[in-house]
Amino acid sequence: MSNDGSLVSTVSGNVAVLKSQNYVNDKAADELASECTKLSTDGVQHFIVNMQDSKMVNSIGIAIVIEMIEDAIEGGGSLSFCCVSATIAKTFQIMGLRQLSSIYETEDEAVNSVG
Amino acid sequence: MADKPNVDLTIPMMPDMELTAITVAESLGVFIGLDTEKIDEVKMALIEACINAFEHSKSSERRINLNFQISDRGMVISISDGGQGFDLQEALERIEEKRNKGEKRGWGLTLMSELMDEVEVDSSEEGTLVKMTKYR
Repeated sequence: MSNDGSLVSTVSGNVAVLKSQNYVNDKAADELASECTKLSTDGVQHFIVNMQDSKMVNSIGIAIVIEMIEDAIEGGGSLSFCCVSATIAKTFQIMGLRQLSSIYETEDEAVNSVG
Repeated sequence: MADKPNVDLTIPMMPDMELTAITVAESLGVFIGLDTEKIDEVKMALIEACINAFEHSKSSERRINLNFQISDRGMVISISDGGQGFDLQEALERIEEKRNKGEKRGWGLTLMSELMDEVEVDSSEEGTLVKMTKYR
């Protein structure tokens, strides 16, 4: 379960789509968080994490992702998800993440929701 | 299925070594015909169980032992560490306190309970044994 590959998929105005890695552990989540921080200094406020390639997460990684969501909200923006597997969505639900963030079926839906 | 076949696995306490454990869980889940979603739930719970053992057991052996038992009913996974054990009730209370203060960690036991059908925790000074069951 390798975690290689670029994180940023597209940036359009103040919206960025990032691709999360195969296993969202603390290391992968930290990398996502760093990327979001970098993008926010470039004016990005809304982040969409496409989880199409993510097969597994762990609670430490999700804890970091929750902090990312809170940072995005604090910056006047949002962080949402798309293409999330049923089990990862259930894990998000259990950890209360869905109270802070939305999950969309497709990337297009997620992007359109920000506009 | 004859006689509840089982698989034993020992993994070192190293980063991402939980992925080795879930590979076995996935293979066995496919073998007994668990659906994809149930297999994913087993894998997620097993990740949490392994990470809990890695982080909290204080085991000097630096490894955990897993046993996967399969049957027509489903899969039972036992995870044991040779660590120092803990008081489950105290741990749950501590987690609740931290969560009330906004702490985002400490979800391992909750996730295991929600994703598996049964979870038993037995802990003493000789270590902790977590037994998780997923029915077909």
